Amino acid sequence: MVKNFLFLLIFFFLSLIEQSFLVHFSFANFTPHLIFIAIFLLIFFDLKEDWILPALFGGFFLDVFSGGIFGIKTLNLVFVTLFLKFVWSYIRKKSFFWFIFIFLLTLLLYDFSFFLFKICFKRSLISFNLEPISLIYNLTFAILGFLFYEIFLSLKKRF
Amino acid sequence: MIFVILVFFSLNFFQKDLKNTLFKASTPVLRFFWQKGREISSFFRGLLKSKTLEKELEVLELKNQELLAEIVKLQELKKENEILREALNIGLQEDFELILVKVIAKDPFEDSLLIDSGIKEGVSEGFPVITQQKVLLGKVSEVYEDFSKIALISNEEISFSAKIQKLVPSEVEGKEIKGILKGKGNQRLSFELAPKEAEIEKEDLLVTDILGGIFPEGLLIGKVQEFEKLDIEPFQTAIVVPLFDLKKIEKVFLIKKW
Repeated sequence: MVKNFLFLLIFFFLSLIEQSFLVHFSFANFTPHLIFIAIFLLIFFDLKEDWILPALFGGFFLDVFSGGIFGIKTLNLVFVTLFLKFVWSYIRKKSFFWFIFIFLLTLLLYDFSFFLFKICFKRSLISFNLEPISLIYNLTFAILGFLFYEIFLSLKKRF
Repeated sequence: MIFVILVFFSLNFFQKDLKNTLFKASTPVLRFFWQKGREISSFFRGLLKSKTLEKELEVLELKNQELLAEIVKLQELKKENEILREALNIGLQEDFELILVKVIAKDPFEDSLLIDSGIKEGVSEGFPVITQQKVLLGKVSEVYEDFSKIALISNEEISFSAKIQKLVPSEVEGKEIKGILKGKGNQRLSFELAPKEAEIEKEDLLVTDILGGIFPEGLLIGKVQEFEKLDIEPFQTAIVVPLFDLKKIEKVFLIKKW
């Protein structure tokens, strides 16, 4: 219960950072998907846990801060979380290479499935653009998160 | 799982109240981070730009001279305009009825902004949004009790009628090239359905057109970055760079009446 409440607060804080602070650090107008990166890191470092509830929290705040139909971003994030859990349960080797490969693959899926959901629910004519800069920029943040988490784990073991 | 997702979608029925409450709760934090983000990013940008400042200064000096010439020309036109107004007995009026609002957040994935005014301040859906320099930002897309959402012109769901206004005196001066401006997401714009025979050039300035009635006429939109003219296509398309810089925007104006 306490853990879930903590996740709720963390995702609320991350969504605020994403919407207000990181906007000023966009690269080629791209801003990192903080909530997506957080979910990815959580699943990568702890596959045993069921991360659906944190994904629901993350999606909820993404929906709150975006316009249009409420629930699309939640649905998308839950879908990607399920996909990630499925993929990582098959790939047992959790190396840095796999981290990068699966991250890029999932981010692509996240963007593409969101595009599909948008077409289905909003019925608007939009096109899907593959954005290499966005992928690289997000990957940079994910790697930073990966390194921080590794340091945190090694410190935790030492003390 | 399906039940939970359905519960989420059911939130659509009272999402306006829910969002308004959450925006209210998070406004102080959003404002703080927005301000800090702006300060820190401008500090780093200043550091990075110091090398190119000298070159920029030279270019600006040249530009300044060009603008001075333009001012002289405009002053003459102003005098002419005043005389005509007097002759036609038209009183000088403000162009628009405006509401000044503050930006508190930006949805980086949907090209939209959150502002601190809503129904209580008299904001309605569809109000055009401009900067201090009369650069078009977008329009109000959602209104809550105390807040509103602005869909930027680069939002993929926005399209409106626009025209190219030739700045450089040439044979085609005075001619307008009309077309449709479409938002392409991530602060990108595209000018479409422009007649094939029209001469679009790089750096051409785009302004709003009265057709469609979404925006007032003559608001600045952006500059042509690239254009494409294919023999097989009946129209030509141009990539447009918006004139606004979201990193610098803090306050904007909503046009109530025009």
